[in-house]
Amino acid sequence: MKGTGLELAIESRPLGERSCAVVVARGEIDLSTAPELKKALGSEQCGAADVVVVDLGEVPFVDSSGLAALLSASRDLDAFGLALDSQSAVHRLFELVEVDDQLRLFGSLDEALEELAGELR
Amino acid sequence: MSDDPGPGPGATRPSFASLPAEALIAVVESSDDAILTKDLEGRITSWNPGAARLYGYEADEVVGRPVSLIIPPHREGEDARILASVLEGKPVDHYETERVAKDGRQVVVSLTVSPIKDESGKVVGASAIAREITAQHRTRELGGRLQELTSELARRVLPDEVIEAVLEKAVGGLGAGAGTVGLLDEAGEEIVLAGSAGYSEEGIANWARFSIDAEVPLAVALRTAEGVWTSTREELRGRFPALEETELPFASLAAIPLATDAGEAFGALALSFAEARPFDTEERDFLLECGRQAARALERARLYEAERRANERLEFLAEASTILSGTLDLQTALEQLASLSVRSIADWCGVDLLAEDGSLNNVAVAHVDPAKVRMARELRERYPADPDADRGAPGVVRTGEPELYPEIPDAVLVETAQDDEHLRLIRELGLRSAMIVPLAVRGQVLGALTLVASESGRRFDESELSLAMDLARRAALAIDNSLLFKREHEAALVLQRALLPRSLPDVEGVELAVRYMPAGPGLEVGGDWYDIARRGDGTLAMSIGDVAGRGVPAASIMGRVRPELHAFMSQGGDPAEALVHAHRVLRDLDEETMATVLQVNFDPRDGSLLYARAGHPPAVLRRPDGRVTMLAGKGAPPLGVFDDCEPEVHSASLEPGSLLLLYTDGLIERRSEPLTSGLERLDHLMHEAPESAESCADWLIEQLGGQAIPDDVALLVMRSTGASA
Repeated sequence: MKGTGLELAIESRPLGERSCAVVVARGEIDLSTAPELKKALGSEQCGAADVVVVDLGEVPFVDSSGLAALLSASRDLDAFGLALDSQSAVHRLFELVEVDDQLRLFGSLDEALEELAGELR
Repeated sequence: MSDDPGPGPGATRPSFASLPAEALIAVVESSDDAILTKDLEGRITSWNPGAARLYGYEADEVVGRPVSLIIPPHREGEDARILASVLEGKPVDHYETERVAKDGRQVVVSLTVSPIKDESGKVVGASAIAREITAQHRTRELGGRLQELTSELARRVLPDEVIEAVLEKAVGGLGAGAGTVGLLDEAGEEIVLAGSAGYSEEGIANWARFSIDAEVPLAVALRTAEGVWTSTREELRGRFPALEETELPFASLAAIPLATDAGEAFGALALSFAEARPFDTEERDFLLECGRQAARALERARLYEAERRANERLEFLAEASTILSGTLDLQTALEQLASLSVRSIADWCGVDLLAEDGSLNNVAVAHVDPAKVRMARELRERYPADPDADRGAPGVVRTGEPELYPEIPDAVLVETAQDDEHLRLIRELGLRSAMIVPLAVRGQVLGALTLVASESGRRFDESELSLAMDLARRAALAIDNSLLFKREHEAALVLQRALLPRSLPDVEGVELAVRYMPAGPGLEVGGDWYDIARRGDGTLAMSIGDVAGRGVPAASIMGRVRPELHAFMSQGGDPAEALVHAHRVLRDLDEETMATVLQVNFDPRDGSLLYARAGHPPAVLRRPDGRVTMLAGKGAPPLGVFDDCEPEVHSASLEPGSLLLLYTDGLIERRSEPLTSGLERLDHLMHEAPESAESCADWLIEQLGGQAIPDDVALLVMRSTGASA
């Protein structure tokens, strides 16, 4: 299994008193790389944070395995959202598959963090 | 200042002339050299004691007789030539030649011949002074022979060539009548005859191999690392009674050890001479030195050969590996391997593999001569191998231990043979040496590899056994892989047959076509599915779905969901209910998984259609007037992830002649472009698609990439014909 198509990094971004974990992804999220994303989303860092956002700004492609990972995370994590361009192919995919209700989609990282942190109060 | 008068000024005659005659005679008489004088006819006129000692004749025996008496046949006429030369005024000075003594012994002499003149200066005869140089000559000769041997050995590369050179130079150069070279075998227990010259075939037939402890000169020289010298036949017989029966046309024998510089003897050279030889110190030293040179050359050659063999082995193993990894067709690979083996390392090669039922099957047999292969096959058919045999392939398979027969004893053939005829036939095959090694991998024995030498006269030893084991390891791995792949492939096929409906229900008013193409090399299964159920109320339920993932894991989930869904949708109910049921089934599974599904109910009688979607691409409808629409009513998210599932049901109406396409995203999703582009393309294609369901299905797939489609694809095409129910 080649898992070299995806780079992942978890950054910590405190927002006021809230701790936020940002999972920055670069590359394709598919059958071979989805497990890494799942692992990152299931990590302690994400579990302990108040808010978790996945930055999909540099992700050109997500397949069903990637989608499954994101959907599972949205089920398991309380405040979870995705930051991506609303015109992007991935956004369109989410619309077509009709997960744009279940998944919280935001146009930018800052917007995602503010909204989600705001909802916690 | 001396009182010696000496020759005064003006003296011209040699100083001898001043001596009285008696003094001159005394000089001649007391000289160690042989001095003789002869007249112009070549008759001996005087003969000194030195000559008597050298030639063995007393003066009275030879004076008056021609000097040719002491000239050997091969030097015939030399005397006349010498005389002629002297007469012309050309002196003969330190001329080396041979003379023959009274007892027949040849001596080598250095001859100086001068004219004898009378007072008038006329030559009346000649005087010859001969100094024996037999010893120096011999030393020089021996030195020369050693040189020759050394330079010849330097030119020889392989052990056989070295041995040949040694025997050539020894037997030829030293005047030996015959010679043999024996080398210690790997086990250090036997001496093998590695070369011989001057013996008849029968003469040495019994000495091909013998124990190192034998009481024969070669063995003694090897054991003691010292020379063995017997000068006469009696001495030889006396010291080595074991040679009693052997023909011994030779009188004296020298056995010289061949040893490393460290002193370890690994062989010996024996030389036999027709005449009795004293083997004096000089000769012994010489022969021992020859032995040393030969040993060095032989060692060098053996190292070279070992390296060459090692390289050949590596090449052979590399080629074998290439064959084994070149094809997954096991039969072909093993046949090719057997062919390679009989070209390189054996005369026969056979491969036997264990079948599922525990029986041993012969899978490949090779010999360079196809006629022999046929014969071997016939033999096997007539006399099938005894599976309970202790030896041979069955035995090796049972014990997992290799068998090596450097020489196949006749007793083994007798044991193996099932009757006299069988014994006769296998004797005819001329099998000489054999090795049988297990084909084992991960502790499990899969079969056996048999290598036999017959015509080539090869003799297998430990080092070749280890090569065979190397080969067997590689072959076993390849066999294992191939079997594994075969089993996996078969399992996948069985799975596929079980997972998806093969036959389509025959429904009036509807034409159906389905296609299923899993991606991935060699695999036949995936997570996509199609399903159709004809319901009791005359309606048709269709579903198309996609479990996330690929291959066996996805198929295994699909295999549990689809049948449940089928059972449910066959009973009745609307599409949303079916989706909820599928969702529950997925949630109940141990695995965390997700599936997109499109569920459709169609009534062929009135063309009414209901559908519900869960994360799945929309069905595409082409109406008879050519309009293409996507059935994209709002759907639910993919099934199996969230707790709840509340899909909406939507409806549509189909006129007769409509074409409906249900598919999975593999048909339209490509990495390089967004899904929407794929949908657009599909929209356009549906405009052009052929009428009939089957043609439409084929055409669409072809248009969208055919076999090159990178993901699993399932599709279902339905054409409503409008025929009444």
